[in-house]
Amino acid sequence: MKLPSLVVLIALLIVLPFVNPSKTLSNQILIWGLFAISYNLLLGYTGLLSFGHAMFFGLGSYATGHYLIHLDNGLWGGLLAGVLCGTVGAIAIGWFGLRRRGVYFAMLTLAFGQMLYFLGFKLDFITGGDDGLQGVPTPSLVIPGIKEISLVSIQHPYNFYFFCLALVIVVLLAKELLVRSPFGKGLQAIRESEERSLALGYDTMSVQWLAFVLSGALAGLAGAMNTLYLGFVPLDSLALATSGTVLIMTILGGKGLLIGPFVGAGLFLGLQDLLSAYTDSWQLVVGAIFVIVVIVLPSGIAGGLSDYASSFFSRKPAAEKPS
Amino acid sequence: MTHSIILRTENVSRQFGGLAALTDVSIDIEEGKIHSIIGPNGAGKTTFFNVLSGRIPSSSGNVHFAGRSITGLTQYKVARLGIARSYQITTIFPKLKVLDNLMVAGQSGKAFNFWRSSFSFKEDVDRSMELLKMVGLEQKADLLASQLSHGEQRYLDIAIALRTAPKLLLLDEPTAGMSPVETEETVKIIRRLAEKLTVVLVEHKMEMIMKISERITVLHFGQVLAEGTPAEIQANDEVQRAYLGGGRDKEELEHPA
Repeated sequence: MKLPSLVVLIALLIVLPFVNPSKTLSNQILIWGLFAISYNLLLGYTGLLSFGHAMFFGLGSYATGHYLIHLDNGLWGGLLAGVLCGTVGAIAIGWFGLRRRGVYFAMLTLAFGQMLYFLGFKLDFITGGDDGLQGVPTPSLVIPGIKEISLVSIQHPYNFYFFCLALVIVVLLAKELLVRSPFGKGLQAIRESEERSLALGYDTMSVQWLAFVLSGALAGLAGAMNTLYLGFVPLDSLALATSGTVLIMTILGGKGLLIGPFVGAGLFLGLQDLLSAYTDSWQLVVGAIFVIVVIVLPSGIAGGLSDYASSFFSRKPAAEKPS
Repeated sequence: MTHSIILRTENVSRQFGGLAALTDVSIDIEEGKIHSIIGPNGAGKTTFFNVLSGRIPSSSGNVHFAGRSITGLTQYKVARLGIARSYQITTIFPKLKVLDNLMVAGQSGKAFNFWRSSFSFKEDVDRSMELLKMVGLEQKADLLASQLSHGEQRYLDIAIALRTAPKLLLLDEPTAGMSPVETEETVKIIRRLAEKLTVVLVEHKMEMIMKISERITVLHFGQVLAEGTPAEIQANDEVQRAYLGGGRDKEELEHPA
């Protein structure tokens, strides 16, 4: 069972804002960790390499921004708008993209990602163009009859973090269930051998499409949270660099591992935070670390640590019986 | 008589570019029999399996299975109708646990259920463990499939195919790379299987084929050269010539035991 590592991860995330002096960094780790969970579902479990995952993060960001500006300054409505937009985007783009596999799939996601980025750049009456979508109001968390909690405030710096953490925990639990479900196991089987999965009666394209859509929905949620936190939507939300960042985070942390996305996001953002104070070339260092991890620890930092731990605590000799 | 024919191909042909891999292959497979397809390398045996399982479409001709046409049906739909196959090159899910290999095999009908643990379907777990017992892997249920020995992986490959509860099982060289002892064990497993379902077998080991088969079809250059009982096939002059011409050992065919 992976339950202990889930408990450890949640405990670490609860402690994080109290040991980390930068509130911004903690919040970013949660948001990008969630984005990386969504990416990990594709790369780690489904085995699909996408170079355009920022599409769904960006779609979610803009949708939430517009909802809060034009429709209603409601928290749940805003989040839902982001999730829905990420979902719909993934339904459409997945339908095209999944007609091809491997490199061709990756190239299609790259092409769609670039198209969406330039649409965002050109359609400035919708997206604010290069300046981004400015002036998104931040809604409060309303607990009916009790009180209204403002999420982003200087007096209560932890509110936003713990609201996000609650969402992240729900996502983590749902993801753990998903990975153990017939769907989740089917996904991994298709990753291992699409040929055999077809011969067992799996409609592999549709199964992967559903994974792509669920991943898009989660990326949309991460984008929505980013909008809530920043109070505006940068055009970079749709940029290729954003797709690259989430890919690097996922591989740094360890694809297909529960704790991986947060380790990757924490390391990447932590280094950025630490090094950018000294040099503009912080990406040089991150790049070097990425190269080392890929060569020395192909299963990522979390993967390497768990391999080390399992060799340290010798394994149980007899195989457990299920049920 | 026709009611006992579970699979019938009518003039099935398949070309790859200019190459005719199969030409007018018409075969009737009787229900509950062990039916072997033999022939020299390149005779079209694997192509024939690929057409039957829907992996590749035939260029022309018809395939009927269990009373309906399956011509041109995609692979996963053919699989759901009850045709399962094992592979010449072991095709398992190496990074999944041995038990999960079978869970996955049995749950393609629940492929879109992402809110329930797969182990919460008790009957699926029971059936999977039963099959693991049958192929002697129940002690290794929690290992990764990649940790099994070659022979064990071959057994797992067959168990995966069986987990779909097929009516017809296509076995593509199930004993490839197996030791004589493992081959012997596999023959026993196939015999036991044939009590409940129809087995179509592609093999190169003549001794085994002659012992186990009830019907044999010989393919040669993509065409049916002969069909009959093992004794009839052994006595057939044309078959002997084909094997001699195809570079296979005549000795093997004449003296299987």
